[in-house]
Amino acid sequence: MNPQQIFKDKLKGTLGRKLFSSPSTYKLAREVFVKKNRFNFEARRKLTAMGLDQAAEAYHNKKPVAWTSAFFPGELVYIFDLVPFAPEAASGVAASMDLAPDLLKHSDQMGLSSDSCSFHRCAAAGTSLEYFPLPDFLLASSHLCDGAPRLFQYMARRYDRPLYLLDVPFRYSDHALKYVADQLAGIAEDLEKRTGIKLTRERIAEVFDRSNRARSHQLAVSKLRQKVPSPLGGEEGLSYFYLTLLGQGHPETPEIYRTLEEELQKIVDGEVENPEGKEERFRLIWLHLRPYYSSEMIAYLEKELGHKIVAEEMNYVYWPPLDAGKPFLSLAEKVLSHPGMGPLERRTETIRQMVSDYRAHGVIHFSHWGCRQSVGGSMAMKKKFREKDIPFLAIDGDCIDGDSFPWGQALTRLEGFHEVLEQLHA
Amino acid sequence: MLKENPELVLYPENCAGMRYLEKPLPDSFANQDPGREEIMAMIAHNYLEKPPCPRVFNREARELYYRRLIEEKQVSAVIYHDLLFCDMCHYDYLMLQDLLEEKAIPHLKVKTELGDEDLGQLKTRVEAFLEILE
Repeated sequence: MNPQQIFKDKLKGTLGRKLFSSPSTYKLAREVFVKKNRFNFEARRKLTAMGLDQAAEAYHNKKPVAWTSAFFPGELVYIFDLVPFAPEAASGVAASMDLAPDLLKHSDQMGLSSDSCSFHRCAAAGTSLEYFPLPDFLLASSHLCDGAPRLFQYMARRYDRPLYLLDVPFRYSDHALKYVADQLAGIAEDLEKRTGIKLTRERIAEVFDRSNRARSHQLAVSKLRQKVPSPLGGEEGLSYFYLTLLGQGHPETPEIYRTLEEELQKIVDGEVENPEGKEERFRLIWLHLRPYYSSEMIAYLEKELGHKIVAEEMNYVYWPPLDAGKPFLSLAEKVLSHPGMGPLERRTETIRQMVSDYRAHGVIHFSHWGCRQSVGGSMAMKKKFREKDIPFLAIDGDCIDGDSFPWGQALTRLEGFHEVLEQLHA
Repeated sequence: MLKENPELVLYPENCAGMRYLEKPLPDSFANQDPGREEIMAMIAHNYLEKPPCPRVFNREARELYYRRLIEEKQVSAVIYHDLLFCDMCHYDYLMLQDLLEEKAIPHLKVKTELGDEDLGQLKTRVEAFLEILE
């Protein structure tokens, strides 16, 4: 029997919660999955190891754990030597371990609404049932995701923990930059007092350097993926979003991207075969995330239909290099630079540019149930892309709740989109 | 439906309810013939000074407001309208739920899209809730 399946089955038993929240589980998983498993890319092996190490640390209770919402600047967490924990990432893992159905049922009992984002419902239930570690701090940003700051507000009250909320204005301006920078400075000042860790120039420079090196390699990876054929598909590409969520400022992150860059360069240079194969019937840009309870959708798209996801919106590098000389202004600029902020035209134009840069044939928007910031504008985006003759498919689904959206329907939509592309390029 | 029941004293605490009338304007706005700037100031004052709505990130203020309402209005039951797809409502309810359980105040959560299609079901649930209260 597959060790992963054995592991999944054990998690559902009476000892499941203890297993899930034990640092030893992650150390064992590292031995079993990282050392013994076959990975297509060495970078993925390193990424998996990093994720398991972070999970072990989060449960180890040796360092304070900071829950961070998806778009909060992670560098601040590493400056103060906190262990970051992204409830969305944990929900994704829970979904991949088949725990999500039970957690979502429990979230209903807690009173959470089923039309809220399942990432957040799963996170609330996971913490209540002691699968996930309790936070020592909660760091949320108001931009893009409405649900996460509210979840964090609820968790802060329920578990009596300090909540730091970064209020991000809708539009980029000098005033907005200063407003966000001042808040970040205030958060840092408070974290300094609570953690006892001095905020020094050297500390900031060290963390910013890691973030900038990672950014540089990430850009190089993006550039390589623009080649035809692209050396990396979406099944693999989407997994690196973990580094955007939890790795910005982590010492391993630049190393993982550097390794990936080298591996992709070898494929592009013809030195090694692409382990994913060369076929790319059509090149696609993927928006938002993917189902975490199953890889069937991406596998169908890339292996059965022969398409290749050449870029993901979530991996797009939108921010300039960080400047340790003006740390808070720099982080504020990073936050406000997100193309999802401000008028929808900003996001649409960024995706349009990606279509051009990657020579993509179309765009797929995975419309995760409950994600207002992403799904809200998807129909308007579709209209805009139609005007530019760029095929755009918005496919309804749920990243965490596999029961809500039947696979059959999604399959039909993907096949229909494939036919549209075939006809256009006949 | 609820207004038809003469035994019920209703206090609508929602986006179109009493929240906007909670805090009267100060005497400084008593001018009978306000100019444009004064009108803008009155509107701004009302927005900033009224009790926080679920949209605002100030859980302590929101909780204090609920506690005050429960005490002042001698609330004996709550019907919470959870608007479909409104995350503000959804998470606000969680805090209120805890508070009402602490105070042992019976409550009913109803979820609608503000349309008429749910009216029949809604009526049944509210009637059942009122019977329990009796």
